[in-house]
Formats: sequence, C-alpha cells, structure tokens
Amino acid sequence: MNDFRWGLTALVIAGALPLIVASYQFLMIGWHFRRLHYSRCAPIFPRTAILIPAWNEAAVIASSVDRLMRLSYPPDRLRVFVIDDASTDETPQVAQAKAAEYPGRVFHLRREVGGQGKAHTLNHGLAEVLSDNWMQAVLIMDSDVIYEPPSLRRMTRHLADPGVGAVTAYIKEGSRPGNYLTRFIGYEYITAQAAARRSQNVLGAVACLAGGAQLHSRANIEALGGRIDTSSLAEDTITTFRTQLRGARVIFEPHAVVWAEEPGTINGLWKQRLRWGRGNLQVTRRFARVWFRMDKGHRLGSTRFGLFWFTLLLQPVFLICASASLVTLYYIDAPLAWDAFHALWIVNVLTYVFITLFALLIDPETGRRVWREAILFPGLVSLLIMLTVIIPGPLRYLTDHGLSLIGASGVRHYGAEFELFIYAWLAGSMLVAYLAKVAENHLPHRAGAILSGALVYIAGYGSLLCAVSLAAYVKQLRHAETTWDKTEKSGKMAVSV
Amino acid sequence: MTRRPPSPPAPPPRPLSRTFGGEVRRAVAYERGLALKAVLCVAVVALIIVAEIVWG
Repeated sequence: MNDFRWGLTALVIAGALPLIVASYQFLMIGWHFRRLHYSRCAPIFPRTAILIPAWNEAAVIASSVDRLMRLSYPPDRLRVFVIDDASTDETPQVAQAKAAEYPGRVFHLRREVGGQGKAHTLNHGLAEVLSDNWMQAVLIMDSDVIYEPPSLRRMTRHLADPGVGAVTAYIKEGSRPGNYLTRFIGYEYITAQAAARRSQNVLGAVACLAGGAQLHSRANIEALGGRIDTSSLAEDTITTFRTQLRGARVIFEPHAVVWAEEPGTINGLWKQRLRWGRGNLQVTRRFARVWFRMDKGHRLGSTRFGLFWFTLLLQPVFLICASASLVTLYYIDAPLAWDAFHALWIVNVLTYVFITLFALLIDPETGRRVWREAILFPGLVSLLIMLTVIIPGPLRYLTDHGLSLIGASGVRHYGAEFELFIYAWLAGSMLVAYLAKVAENHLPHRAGAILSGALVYIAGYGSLLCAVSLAAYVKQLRHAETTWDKTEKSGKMAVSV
Repeated sequence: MTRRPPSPPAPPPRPLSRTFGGEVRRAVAYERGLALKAVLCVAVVALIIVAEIVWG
C-alpha cells in the first residue's frame, strides 16, 4: 500500500515535468550568446528562388509579391515563383499580372490538378528551380507571410558556412487589430519560437523549420532528393529532421523576423493545431530509432532534445495522470494528497513566474501587446489556485470574510468538494477548453464568440492546446484520414515593414 | 533674404555587405542582454522561494 501511495505521489509530481523541462529550456537561452553562429557567417547573397505555394490566395498574393520585391536583397539574385495549386479564384490572373509587372523576377507556375496539399505543390516548384543551375538557395514561404526587409539577407549569411543546410526565421503573429486569440498566439510564439528555438540553437538540434520561413542551400535540397516528404502532415518537421540526420546544421536566426496571420477563431486554431499535433505524432513514430540514441552526426538523439520533444508531446498525459493520482490519493491518504498537490503547484508557480517574465523580456515589443494574455495563459482558475498555494493566509481571510459579508458562509462546508475540484482541475481544464470549441460551433455567432472567449480565459490557452493534442492522439489512434485542411487567411495584417 | 543653401546630395546607398558587421554586433549585444535578463528572472524566482520559506 505504501508503494502505491508513493507511486501516486510520484505521478503527481511528474505533472510538473513539462514545466520544469520548459524552464530548463528557457535557462539555456542565457547561454545562446556563447553559441552564436555569426563567426562562420559572411555577407553573401546566393541566387535565391522563393517558392510560394498558393491555393486560392488572390486576396494576399499581390501584396506578398510586392513586399518581396522590396526585400533588402540584390534584385538580380532573387526570383519569386508563385506555385498556383489549381486555384479556382483569381490567383492565376493576379500571379500572371505580377509576372508581367516584374519580368524575369516573378514567375507563375500552374498545377492543373491540385488539392493534394502543400508538399505536393512545393515539389512542383522545386522540380522547376532545380531544372537549371541558376538557383543556389531556395526559400520556402507561405503566401500571406510578411518578411521584414532585412530578413532574407540575415538568413542567407548563415549559408556561408557549408555545414549549414537550412535556416529558419522568427515567426511573429501579425494580425491587426487581432483579437484575444491572436494575442494568445502572439505570446505563445515568443515561447515556442523566440525562446524554444534559441535553446535548440544552443543544443545544436532544431525541432522544426517554420513552414513560412525555411531557407535551404541547393546542396541540402539536392541531398534530400530534391523533394519534400508528402506522406505526413508535418512535412516541415520531416525536412528539418532529415536535414540534421544527414549531418547538416539547421540554424534559427532570431533577428530575421517574419510576420504571419494566425487563426482568429477557436475552430480555425483547432484545425491548424490538430494538423500539427497529428504531424508531430507521425514524426515521433517515423523517427523512432532516433530518440535518446546519441549519434556523432547529429544531436537529435540527445537526452535533452528527447526530453524537450516528449514532455511537450505528452503534456496532456502528464496532466491527466497528475489529476487522477491526486483524486485517488485524496480517498486513501488525504493529507498526503494535500502535500503532493502543494508541491506540484509550488513548482507550477515558480516555473510560471520564470517563464512568463523571461518570455516578455525576450521580445518586449510583442510583450507590450500581449502581456495580459501572458499572465492569463494558464487560465483564471489556475491563477487562483497558484495564489492560494503561494499566499494561503491572506486569501483564506479574504474568502472567509467575503463569504460572511455576502451571507454565504455555508459555502465553507463544501471544503471537500472544493479540494477535489482543484485536484481534478489540471485535467478538467482541458474539458472546459474543449467546451469553448463546442460553444463557438453551436451557439449563435456573437454569443458563441463571447462564451468561448470567456471559457478560454477561465481554462487557459495552454489547456486549449493540450485539448487539441488529446484530440490529435485520438485521431491518430483511430487512423483517421490524413487530409490537408488549409488555414483560412484574410490578409488582415497591418504590420508596417 | 537669405537663400537656403542647397541640400547636400543624398549619400549613395550603402552596399548591403557593409551593414553586415553592424547587424552582427547588434545581434550579439541583444543576445548578451538576454543572458542578463535570464539572471534577473532567476533572481525573482529565488526571491519567491525565500519568501515562501520565511513566511510560507
């Protein structure tokens, strides 16, 4: 019985593992300045082919091409290829007009049979740019992303090192005016891009080249067979892994900034993240022989990279195990359950303070816009639990007196139910976050938007992401059909570059 | 009435390769700054731990 108790306690404490690993990842950023790649960089401007896969992108493609023409890069060393994936809107006409406006610099490629996904579209473009010797580097981007003028040249400078196969940039959320969800994503991208990618630079193993900003040397693309993998939903990650497995480096350049429009509705976000989540599960299985096996040629098999990958991938499992163990412990040893809960949430408080504070300081410009969402990232209920754990005395006093004042002191008698509620909250918050999606789907437009937003603030954006991960597990276990759901873009970005 | 002297001609655009050194120096300085920020955040967490031990 004792072993069982301690086993449950260990499972509770393990619930903090994703946050502890994330904090370690953030700590590594402090070492980034010692691992910068600039000593091997040079101001080089390889002849670069920019591939823009486009399916019904008439709303955004013209302005994207115009912006690319204004990049701070020698014009004679830049060609833009709009790969029209059998669009049924005005995309072909717009692309042809741009090709006529910038002769010899913009090209329109057309696939007559489309709808197979981004990777197939990119392969059409890759075959074209590899067919002659002009291209020395290829930049793969999305049709709606906005490159700040110096971004491309800040990426190409790393290709002066022949050991580098690919370079990625810092993707920032750019919807303006945006809404609460895009601000949450804005904060998430500080943690997932600006922070996590820096620590991956330190480690020497990068998890993913951003789909909207991946620069490859010609040698790398040729070594990968001149094609992007078409069998998974995470072709970007597969390309990233294959690049590193062949011994080439992948670099994250944090000072090359690219703005992207992200979903403004929970449904849009759910669709996008479900694709990413399922893709990551496919990658995990595809590279099963890579994890936790050191290899001289690459660092993907290092223990630290494995921990980063799996604690994030399995975060919902950790949370459910922690909650279930707490509830079980409550019935067999309530004082031990309380101690385990306290230890878990103290760790949560410390990691939350560290990560939130540091993330806002890593990108203060974005931080000024999203600081409220950064604070509310774990959700209102979790914030209250954290406050209760860290300053129980004053809160208990306030609660007692507050309840007496409103004549509801009897509520205190529900202490046991309250205790069980906070034990179950780590897992329960995912259910509440899922209800936000249900509300958006089933209630009238305005009411649905208000209620779903309120539920996200209550449950936390992090819980929403965990709920999507759970849905991805289920889809993969049921071998659901692998389809490419395109994220809807409106072109509503008001980022001045 | 004094006539304004003609504006000096605009300087020729700097070759892109000339901006390289400056950009790298700024990037390195920024990354060094992040190391300091990391220390600052660790200090805040340490303060919370101390407070929790003393008053918790």
